[in-house]
Amino acid sequence: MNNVIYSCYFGSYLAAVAASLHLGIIEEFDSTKIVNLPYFGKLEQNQWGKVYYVGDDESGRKIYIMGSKKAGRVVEKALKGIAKIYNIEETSVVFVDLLPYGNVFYTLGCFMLQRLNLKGLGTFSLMMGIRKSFGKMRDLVENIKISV
Amino acid sequence: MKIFYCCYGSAHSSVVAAAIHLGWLPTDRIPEVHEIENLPHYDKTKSFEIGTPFFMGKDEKGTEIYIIGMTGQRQLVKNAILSFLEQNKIETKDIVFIDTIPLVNLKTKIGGIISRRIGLVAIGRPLTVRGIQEKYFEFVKLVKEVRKSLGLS
Repeated sequence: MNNVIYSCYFGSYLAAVAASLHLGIIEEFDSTKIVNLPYFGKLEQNQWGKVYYVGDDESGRKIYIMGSKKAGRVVEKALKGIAKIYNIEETSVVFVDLLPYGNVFYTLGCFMLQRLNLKGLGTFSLMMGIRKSFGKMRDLVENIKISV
Repeated sequence: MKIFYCCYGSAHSSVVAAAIHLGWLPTDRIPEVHEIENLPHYDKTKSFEIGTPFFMGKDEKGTEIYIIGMTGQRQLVKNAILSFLEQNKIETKDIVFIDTIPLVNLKTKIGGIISRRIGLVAIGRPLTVRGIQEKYFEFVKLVKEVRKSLGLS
């Protein structure tokens, strides 16, 4: 049993894009498609930390997303430890924190959407940020698909 | 049944609570400095290890006692553990998280930062112990309530 968890601060932006890249739901940057991705922009604060199932990939791995704020490393240790305790193989948890894939446009977009409730401007800035990181994220996801 | 005593870094308060639960520390008097310092994992957990659950032992009823550090994100980490297990079709009813953070006073907190984060063990560690000793009977009270809820005396 294999679990791949894509995570970012809110769980529903970079993580949702990465999970969809992994599952082949999107291949190229397309902002109309991105806003309609599963869970995109939909996770609330009280849902942070919870894993949300997005789909199974070709090798039967379960792909999840999670909002982990800046605690990705702690969450990763906790889940690997828990997996061990319950005799699920430790290697069956692959935790991918996308925090380093954010950039200033992305952060600004998140801020405008989440805090200021500026939908149009926030989405515009967010998409600029995602577009900038899109290539790097696709490479990352490709590597994970091969390595796991 | 599994009990996770959780605190910030799984180095001080959770260790003491787990030790009381397992009968390694007295409940009728404040333990000596060496009794606290010699506990497994006491003031030992490194920053990069935070999040890892450590097994401490089994109590008389076979309950597994763990300690875990969750930094300031306790609700988030608990959500992660429970939802991950649920997704893997594992029963989570027998998991109990006990927060020991409310029992951490300023001395333990500052001592912890000096010892764990800055690395000045000789200064920080005694301070953490002093803080624990000051709050000791509250630890005893917390653990007694936990044990009572499990049907243990």
